[in-house]
Amino acid sequence: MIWRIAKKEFLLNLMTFKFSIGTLLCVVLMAVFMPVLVSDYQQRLKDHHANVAANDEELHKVKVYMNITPTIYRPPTILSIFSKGLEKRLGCPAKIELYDVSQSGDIMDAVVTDEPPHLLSIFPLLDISLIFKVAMSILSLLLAYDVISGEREQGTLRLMLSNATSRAQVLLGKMSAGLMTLVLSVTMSFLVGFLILRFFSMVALSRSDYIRITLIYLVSLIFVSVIFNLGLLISCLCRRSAVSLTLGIFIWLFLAVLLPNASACLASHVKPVKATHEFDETINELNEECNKDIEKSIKGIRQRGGNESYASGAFGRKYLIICEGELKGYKQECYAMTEPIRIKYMKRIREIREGHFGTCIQQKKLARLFSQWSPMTLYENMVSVLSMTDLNNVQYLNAQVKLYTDEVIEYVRSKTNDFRSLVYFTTCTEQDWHEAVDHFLPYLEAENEAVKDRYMDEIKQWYVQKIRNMPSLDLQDFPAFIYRPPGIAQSLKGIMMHLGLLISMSVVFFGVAFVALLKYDIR
Amino acid sequence: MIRLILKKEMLENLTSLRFVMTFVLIVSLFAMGAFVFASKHTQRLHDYWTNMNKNHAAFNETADKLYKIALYNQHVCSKPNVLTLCAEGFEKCIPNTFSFNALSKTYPTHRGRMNDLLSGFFDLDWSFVVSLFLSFAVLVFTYDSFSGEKQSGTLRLILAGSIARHSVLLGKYMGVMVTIGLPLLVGLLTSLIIVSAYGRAPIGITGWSKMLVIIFLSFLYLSTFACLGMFVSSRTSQPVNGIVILLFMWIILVILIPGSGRIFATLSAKVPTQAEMRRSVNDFTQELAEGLINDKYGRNAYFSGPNRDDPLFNPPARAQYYTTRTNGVKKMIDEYIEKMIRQVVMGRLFTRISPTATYRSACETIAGTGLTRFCDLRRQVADYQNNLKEFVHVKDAADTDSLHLLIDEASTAQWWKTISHDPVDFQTVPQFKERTPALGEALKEAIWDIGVLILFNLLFFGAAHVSFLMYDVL
Repeated sequence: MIWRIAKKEFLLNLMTFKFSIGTLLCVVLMAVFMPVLVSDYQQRLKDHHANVAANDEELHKVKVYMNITPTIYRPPTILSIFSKGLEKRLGCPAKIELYDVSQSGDIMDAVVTDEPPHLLSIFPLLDISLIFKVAMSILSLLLAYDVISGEREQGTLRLMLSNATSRAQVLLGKMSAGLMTLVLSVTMSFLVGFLILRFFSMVALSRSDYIRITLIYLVSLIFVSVIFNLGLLISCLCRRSAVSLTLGIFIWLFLAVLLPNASACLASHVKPVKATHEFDETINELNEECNKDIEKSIKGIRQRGGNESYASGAFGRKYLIICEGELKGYKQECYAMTEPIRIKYMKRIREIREGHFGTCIQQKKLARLFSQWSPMTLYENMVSVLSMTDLNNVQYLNAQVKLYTDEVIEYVRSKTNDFRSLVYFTTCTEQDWHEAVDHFLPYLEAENEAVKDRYMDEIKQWYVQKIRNMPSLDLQDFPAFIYRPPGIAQSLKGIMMHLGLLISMSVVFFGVAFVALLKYDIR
Repeated sequence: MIRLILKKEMLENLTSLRFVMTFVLIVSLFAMGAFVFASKHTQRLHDYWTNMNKNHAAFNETADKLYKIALYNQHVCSKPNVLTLCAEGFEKCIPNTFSFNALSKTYPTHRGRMNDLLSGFFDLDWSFVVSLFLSFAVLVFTYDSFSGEKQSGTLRLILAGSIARHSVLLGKYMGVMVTIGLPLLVGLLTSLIIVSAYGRAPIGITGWSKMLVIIFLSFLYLSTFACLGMFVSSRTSQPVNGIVILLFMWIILVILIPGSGRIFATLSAKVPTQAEMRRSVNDFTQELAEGLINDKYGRNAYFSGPNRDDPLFNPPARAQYYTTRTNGVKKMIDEYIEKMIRQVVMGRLFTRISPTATYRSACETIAGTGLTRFCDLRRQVADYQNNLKEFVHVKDAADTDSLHLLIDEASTAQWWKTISHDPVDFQTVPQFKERTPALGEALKEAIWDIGVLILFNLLFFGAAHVSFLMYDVL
């Protein structure tokens, strides 16, 4: 009997206007947005390759170890088309620095080191999960809202129940039919999207990507079933389909739009983050403390002066190319004392930044806690985890960046004998200094202006040649950053709680609908 | 007759479940939004004044020497605007701090209490409540305007009398507008009462008049959806088909089209990525540095030291190098920001096929928040920077000991007196003061958006009218 009811309902659903319009809309939206999102991904991937290549090129130009300040770029993931999540945050480059360099008062230094702004954040993010969250959930609700109340209004419900058909069978039959209809819609939309992704956009997918896409499909099915059961519950509680429709769409509006946005708003009110100026003050205080410690540490070193000259190096930094012997010795002693102090303070500043980020994470988690009563939020969170654009991924990446920074520091420390070696900060050898003196002496001794100019031109030519011929460091053993994305098992672990909640919601809605139907007046 | 129909529609709507739900939801949203805004505004004002006073105090300390005033890096923030209650304009994501001195500048940044993990969510401002919830509610009130009456058989009874169709149409339209106007006005009033009760968000006359304009825009926007709802209702014979079409249209117009603004923006204009921009600036400064060594800016521009009379040094050549560098970087930053703004504007242009995007953009422009404010503030900062530079130039000209070379290099300014070292009366130094645009200026900027909303209204009302004239009432 359940199967007969289900078959009848399923065929009826297929012939309804709402099913055709809803499914057509979802398929069209998928067909329209998938190529656009994939094209955006391909552009991001292209930019990523260009950034990595530029970074490698800079590494090849490094002349001294203190200039090693590479930038880490996380490759964009194709699955971000399903859920943008925190992809923007994950896509932010992470600069590896041996110490905090935000101490220079020169505004030009800020231009070179600061992150240029981006105004596109004023637009909301669009991804495939939004289409499902909004369009597919509305379709589910529209299929379910008049399942019981509509039949009651038409008078067919009492006819059905006047036979030897139990209410449970009716409900199960209708639920099965609804879910079968939704499976068809979801599958068609997914299929269209997948075909475009695979065959028209020529995107390479790994085995892990295929598994994740399958999981996203399954999660989408569970999501629409929750909304359907919610609609079913509303239908069992109302006597008129107009009332169940009104109630249904207001509840949808509350769950899909109000709850997520209000939760974020409330979370920022309940758990505010520190203002940038408070944060900067703390960092400035630490930098001042660092400078004082450095001053104290080099007090005991005998000060020696001399002539020096800097050249532009890799990563926009300068390096010491010519330096008088005494001054070089003084700097060498100083760096051996100061660099460990700078690194110590860099780590403290990093802790403060992590602390600030920790507050942001707590605020985000609070917002999530407030909004997890919404199936839409649960669905979005699950798709985000499976697409590797969720908060855990951000924390995971940050942890990898931190480990890599420490690895780079250890590498530089080992290559420069704890920052004591000359190669840490200068390329100038004794021979270089003698060459400089040999070139400058005639200039200083010349009395004729024209002769002075001639010597100055020779000095400049020699200097330019020196810079051009300066060999780069051999960094073949420099540690490479390899981004290790979380495995599928880890992602599954990440969605377990949300999946459990979603399935529980579905069961509870159905259970309450069943109880409501048992007491439902069918006349 | 229109009045009779209006009265009947109103009574029917006011006693319905959908009105009760709409009223409770809307008023609660306005109240919640007002509470959150009031406390955040207080915090933002505190942060703003802390920053500005610190900036001012540090600026004051530089008054002992003119060159320090010229090279002092100011950080100017936008003042928290009370009209973010009406339209927040994604100000939590847009740069709000400009760092510059009299001669150069860097990128604008965002300073505040931003959490970029939550930046994708809307604030509960008026435009959010109206554009999402009230537009939805209007569709719920209008989807069965004609099809519902046709199904119940009352439409043919109404039209059997000597009532013109356009009277019915107008009566229903006004009925919906009055019905939806009630929760809107009560919600707005609640919001204003809560904000006023906090007492820390005074709204001046300009603010009040801008609010009135925003309220008018809200009615215009909701009227668009009322006309759309009636049009769809007059095209369908069954209300359920009408609501299906309207719900999906709402999803497309209110959520998907505004959401695809970013896609349109990136497709329409290519802006360098942040990494590309950094590389370009690096390459430019390196190229200049090479020119420095090769005497491109004059002999010995490369050298500097404490003794300005040393024949090795060539201050004018060094000044030329620094001026080229500063102006070049400024130009690159300006071009980058112009490209970004153009990209966003193009994205918004495409999304204007949605009344929601048009309405939100109009509200932002009138309220003076969002992108409009960023562009305006940028212009004001540029003007102020020019005034400050002019001030330094005039004061410097009076000092015969100065080399009169306004360059952004602190060491040579100190050693060589490229800029005068004379003390300056701080009261005479130009101070930055943000100017809020007047209502007339805001209206001028928003005129296209208002025009588009009026056009939507005329289009949908006309379509509803024509459709209803041909509607089979049997």
